[in-house]
Amino acid sequence: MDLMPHLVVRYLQLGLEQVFDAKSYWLCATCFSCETQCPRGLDVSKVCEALRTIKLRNDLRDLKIEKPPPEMPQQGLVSAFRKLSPY
Amino acid sequence: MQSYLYFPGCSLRTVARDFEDSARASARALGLELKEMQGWLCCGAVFPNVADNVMTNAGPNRILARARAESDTLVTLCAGCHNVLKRANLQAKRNAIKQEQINEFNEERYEGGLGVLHFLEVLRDRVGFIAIREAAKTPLRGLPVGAYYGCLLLRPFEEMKLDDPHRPSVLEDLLFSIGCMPVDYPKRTECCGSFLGVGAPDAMALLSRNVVQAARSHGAKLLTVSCPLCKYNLEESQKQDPKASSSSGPLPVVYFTQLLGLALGVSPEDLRLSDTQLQTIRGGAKSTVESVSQT
Amino acid sequence: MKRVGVFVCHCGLNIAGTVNIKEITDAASKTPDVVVAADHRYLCSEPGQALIKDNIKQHRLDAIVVAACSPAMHEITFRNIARAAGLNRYQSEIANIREQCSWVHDNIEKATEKAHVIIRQSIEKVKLNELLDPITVPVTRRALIVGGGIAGIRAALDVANSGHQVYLVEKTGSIGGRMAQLSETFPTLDCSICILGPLMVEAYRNPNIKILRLSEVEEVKGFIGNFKVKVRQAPVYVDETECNSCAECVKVCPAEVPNEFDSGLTWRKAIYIPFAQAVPPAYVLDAKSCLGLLPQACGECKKACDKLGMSCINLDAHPETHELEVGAIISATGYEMYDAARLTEYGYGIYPDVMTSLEFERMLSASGPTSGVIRRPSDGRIPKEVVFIQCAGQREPETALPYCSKVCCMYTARHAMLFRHKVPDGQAYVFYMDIRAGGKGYEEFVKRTQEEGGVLYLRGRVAKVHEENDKLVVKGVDTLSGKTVQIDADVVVLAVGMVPSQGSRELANTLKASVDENGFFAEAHPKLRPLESATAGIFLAGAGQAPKDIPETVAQASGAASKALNLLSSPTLEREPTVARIVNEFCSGCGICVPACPFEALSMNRERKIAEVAEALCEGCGTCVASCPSGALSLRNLTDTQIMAMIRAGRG
Repeated sequence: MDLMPHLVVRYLQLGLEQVFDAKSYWLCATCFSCETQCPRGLDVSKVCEALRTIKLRNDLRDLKIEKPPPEMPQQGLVSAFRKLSPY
Repeated sequence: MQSYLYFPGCSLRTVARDFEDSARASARALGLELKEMQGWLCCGAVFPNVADNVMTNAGPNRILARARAESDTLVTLCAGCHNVLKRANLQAKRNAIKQEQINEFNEERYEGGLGVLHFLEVLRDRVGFIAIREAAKTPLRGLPVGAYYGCLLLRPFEEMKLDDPHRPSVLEDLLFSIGCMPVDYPKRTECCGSFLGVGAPDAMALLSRNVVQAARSHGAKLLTVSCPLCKYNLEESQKQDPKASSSSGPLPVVYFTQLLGLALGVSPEDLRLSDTQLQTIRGGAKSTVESVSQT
Repeated sequence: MKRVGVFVCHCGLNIAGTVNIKEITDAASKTPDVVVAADHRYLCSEPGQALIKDNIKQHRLDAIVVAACSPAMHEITFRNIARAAGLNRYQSEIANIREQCSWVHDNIEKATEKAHVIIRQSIEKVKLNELLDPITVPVTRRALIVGGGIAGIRAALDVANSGHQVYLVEKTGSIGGRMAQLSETFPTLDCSICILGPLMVEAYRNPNIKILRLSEVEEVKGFIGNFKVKVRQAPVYVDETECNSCAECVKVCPAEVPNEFDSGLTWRKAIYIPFAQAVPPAYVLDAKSCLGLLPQACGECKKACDKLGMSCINLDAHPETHELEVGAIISATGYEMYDAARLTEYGYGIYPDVMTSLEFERMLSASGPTSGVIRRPSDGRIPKEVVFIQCAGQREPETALPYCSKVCCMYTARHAMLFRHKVPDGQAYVFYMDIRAGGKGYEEFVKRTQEEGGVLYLRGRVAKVHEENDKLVVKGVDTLSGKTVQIDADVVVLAVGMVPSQGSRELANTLKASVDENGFFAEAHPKLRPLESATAGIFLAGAGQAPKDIPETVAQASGAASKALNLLSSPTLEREPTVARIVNEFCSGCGICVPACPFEALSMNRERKIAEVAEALCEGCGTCVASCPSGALSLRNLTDTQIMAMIRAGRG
């Protein structure tokens, strides 16, 4: 993990655009462990999704999957497309 | 026969037929009917995490509206669908402006009044574990199984409120009532990797493998889940790295309804249990107290 | 016709910045019955006060209106000036043109217009004010202190040493409170019971202090200077004057329960002494854990005591209600620890080696379950890796307590330091968010802990604790290095928050004092009146008001005592005369006003068949006035006639 979750939030608090260069927010699986634990109730998964969405909408990049994993329940594919697309 | 309106979800109708069939069979054995709702569609798999995404709510709201026309309770099996529908239902109650936007867009309006339950809640709160224990004709004596909750069943806690988010016990309580010896291990509420298998398979494999290793090192002979994606990830991550599985082979993953059905006397065929899975269950279940201490 | 003088205060720019002073002073001077109107930058100052006095004398004024800040600030100041200049005190009225005008508006024209109205209304009111004298009531020159911890003891000693009697009411069998449970105190590492013990004994021996142990306040009636309190004392089965602590009774008692003094780490019998240095120095029979007293199921303790020729134990004892009359009450009810089992991520209650700070404190204590040797509760081994988690269940508005308990950073440093002293080859880790070490010598103490003590401070939270291979796996993070941390600990100590003692809310109700949103006793003003509750005559001391350390508790206790002594220093006190008055001819004897009064100041005179006001009890709230159907009741200096005149003046 290059930028830890609390650092993602910190960079945003300080307005540091370098936050977009991090890889960590792309790996967020929205498991909500952060939100359950945070004493101030912050939802870092929401922050990560917002960062992804901003990047995807700016770059107008669509998720392209050449070989979808066989036998993966469609739940996984739909989630991936929804999380990693600009919508 | 107590009947509950039921939402299957896409995966359960295709790759996860074992989940649905075993659930229906166990329900029948308990005197319940899971009655499929009319006109269901894909729930969308995720609840939108960005505030300006309203479209993703259209599907869930159609489901809620159509279910409401038939009943005041809707039961789900897949943890993912449960998460989406429960949160969509809460949003309808809390965010009147957004709900109006969605209602204007959809053909059917959802005005509230539906309760979304997970099948585990039905088993815990409506049937009761004591009744289940009495109905378990062939309890799985001492089967050391690791209950895996994953994320979406429990979190975000303020909205899901199914069980304690750090130390849940509903699956273990169910497993106790059917004779199993559920194993406590640290990763049972941590993420399996979810959809990361699509874009970042290594990350998914790492997460799932951690769960499997933790369960195994604490003595579990198999894992039981409530979500087709968790099952896929946990099995897939073991396939990808043969070194990770021990000499006894990969840790099988079954749905909790399959174990429940087996204990209630439903046939393994009706529960769609594979031979390997059945073997592990029978082998593990035969263990008495002395054998467990030998492992 | 009264000759009225109006004095307008600029209050620097507080009023003058938003209200046109010249305009309103001019307008006031042109109002009928106003003989003079003047303004000043600061009327509360010496020259300002002199201005008013001189004008009263010069213009032979009968009444004054002071247009300035809230009466809560200076009503008394200006009433005293009026009296000094020869007027009756109640011929001075305040027109609040600051809090109710200049401070809440920014449009100068409209604010000025509003100030006109407020002043006109005050003029109309003061014209109809009666000349009144304060009501003198006698003061019962005794104090009641609820809570026998260090705060209660300190306050009791201060009041008693000034020559007044004190009742010290304590819920448990001994005074001493939480401080008796501590091992050493920061930052000096003084032995806690060693410095507390002499104070406890002094309180016991002081002829002016009566300790009522096993007692709780049941009912409080009356008002400041004149409280009537009912204190219920649980049956005292063991006579404190006879008992010589021989402990023969304990040997034969069959009933065992967790020992509260040791935070549940050890057991005690149903008959027990709270701790070795208990004051009063006597045993206690806990009826709840006894096998049975009605009917008597056992009686072995009494048999053992009688066999020695002593007669300390009376199993037929009854609860006793003491009816006390006091003038001042101090609430010093202290704190307890937040329920750590609610913090499910740490596994308290599931893993025996996860402890609260108070449990660890008992373990450190020489009088504790292991005589001061630190052992793992699970297997008794000496732990080598100990993790301390600060801010456990605190500063978490979303999931637990929203506030900070102030003392945990310091006691955790002390715990870690003491652990390192006792287990020199052990390692201590402290997970912290911030270090709050504001007191004298505190910062230096923390530095010592880190340097001499060799304790590793990790800045971050702990996500989860789980058990693996007989160790507690602690997963946390150190944000300063940006690395996740995993420690395989032997013992985990949670610094949980301080919450108000059980029963605080109920006591507050009984005292008619208020509590804040966290259940702590509410002070009258957070900055300037931290020792008094909003209810007159009730004072606050110690952690029952807010989390605090021992030096602050002692200071606050002495402060509360001094406030109580203010009250008790005079045989009488004056109460406001702006109370209810009944015109007997109009009273129909319906009796509606009697239950309406929250202070029980109204009663029916059976012979004359009319209602009567006990002026000393009346608080002037006006509820009875509103309830009276025949208009017999009115409030002095706030009659319906006055109110109508003010309304008319407001309409311009």
